[in-house]
Amino acid sequence: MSTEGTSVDVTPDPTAAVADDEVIVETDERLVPTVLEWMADATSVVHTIEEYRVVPWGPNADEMWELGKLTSERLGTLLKVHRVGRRYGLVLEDAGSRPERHFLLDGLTAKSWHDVIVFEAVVGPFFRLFLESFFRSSVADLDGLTRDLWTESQRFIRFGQARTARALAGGDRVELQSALERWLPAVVRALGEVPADLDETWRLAGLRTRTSDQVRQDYLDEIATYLQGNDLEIPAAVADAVCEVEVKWLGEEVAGGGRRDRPLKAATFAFTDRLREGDGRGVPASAPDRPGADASGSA
Amino acid sequence: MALSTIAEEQLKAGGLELDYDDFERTPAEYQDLVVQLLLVQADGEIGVRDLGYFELIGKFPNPADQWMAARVATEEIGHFRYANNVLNGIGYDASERVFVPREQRYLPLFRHEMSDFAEVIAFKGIVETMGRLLLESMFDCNFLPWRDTVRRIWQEEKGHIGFGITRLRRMCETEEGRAQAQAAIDTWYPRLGAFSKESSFTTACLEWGLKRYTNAELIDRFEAETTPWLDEVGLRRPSFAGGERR
Repeated sequence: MSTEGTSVDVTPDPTAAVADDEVIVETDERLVPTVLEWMADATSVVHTIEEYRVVPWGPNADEMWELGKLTSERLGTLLKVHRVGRRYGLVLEDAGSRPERHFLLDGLTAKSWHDVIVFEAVVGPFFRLFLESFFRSSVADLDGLTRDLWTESQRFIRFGQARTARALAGGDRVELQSALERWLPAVVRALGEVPADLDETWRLAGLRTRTSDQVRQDYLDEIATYLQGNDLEIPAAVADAVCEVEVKWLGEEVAGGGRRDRPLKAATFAFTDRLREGDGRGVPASAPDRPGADASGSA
Repeated sequence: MALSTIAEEQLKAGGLELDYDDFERTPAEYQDLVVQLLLVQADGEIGVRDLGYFELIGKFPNPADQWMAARVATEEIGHFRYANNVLNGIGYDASERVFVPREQRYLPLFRHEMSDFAEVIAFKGIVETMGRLLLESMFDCNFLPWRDTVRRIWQEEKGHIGFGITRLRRMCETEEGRAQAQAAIDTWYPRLGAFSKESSFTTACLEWGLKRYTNAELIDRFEAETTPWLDEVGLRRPSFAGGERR
């Protein structure tokens, strides 16, 4: 940054306090592969749930096409992780088939269209937040990769949430709730998968900027709001974790008061009429005329 | 004022190019032919959903193949949408073909299920080459909305074929792989036998200016194109099975 011609002094003040996210650390690059392995596991979720198998079961050809594109994009994100992995000597090509990988989501697979759209709508935000936790990583490769994957993950979530909204409007609440009952407990368990010591190591190395606890809280807040906003019930199995957001219906207070329980009357020029006729309260000379019948008005 | 009708002789003489607005002015036989042509194309394209293809993606050899295979299959669904859009433009719809059982597909070719990656790439490399030639046969189609759509589908099909052929070549680099590829070719190549006989439908398409190749010409072109690379990678060319066409 150039500050020439200004009074700004960019010389760092060694005594100045710095915010947590401005701490400059010496990153041990040997730790980068540990992050990439977890990222590969996160992006392998397309295999975990076998999302591509559901493509032929979209409600119509348009939705099959959209899901097919999404699935291939998800498979494409894996290639991006693998590519960065190779720079660090990692072979991640088999990540999607390793049985001991993370984020296995209790071994659940997508069995229906509703399963897929609820997965994208509800589980998708967890993976987006997981990626976000590596934003501003001290390693440029990681920062760049996570931003790239994050951007794609937004599309996946939008796909799921838009379809879920449409399905709700179409009366598929039972099917959606049923899918939610499958996925949400699994993703809540996944929130605790990163071991605490690894989480701390990543944080100290500047690789991760949000801890697992923060990711967990971000997710629970976000998903509770989403579910509440769509009148979906929080599954009993995770009721302790996903606290319902307290929403108080303010009704008339929000609407600015007034009475809504009486029949409405036609609005009139009764005020002007009253002034013309004189109602004993004193008629000012400047009282407005009632508009004339013709467009230009009458004198 | 009502526009004049387009006579059969005018259409068959060639040189006409028709748009959506012209369609209703054409003879009923021509209209029926166009509708059937598009319906069969749409049905074949959406047939991908029931070939076992999507179910196999997770078993493909590597992530790059999985990604490419998913894209390719999705584009086939897109081709159904293209064809159906044209049908919609002339007042018809093929949506009911989306969920028909595999055994009810119009072309027998699409009544089978793929069992492994070798079959998928054999289908892409061999069967889709025939599909591409069929599209090329419609490059001069006198119904312009379809001619334009054919070009669009053709462009994507070229990529699908490339995917199939390059993977087949790679598979043939080992004896074991070549055996797998040969088994897949032996399964799918003969099923193209339907095109080895002339059909009244194709003959009508030729007469009415919708296609330009007879089935015999198609087969000649197909063999001329596939034989060299099959020979090069050491794959035998099986015989066509006859009379499968409905």
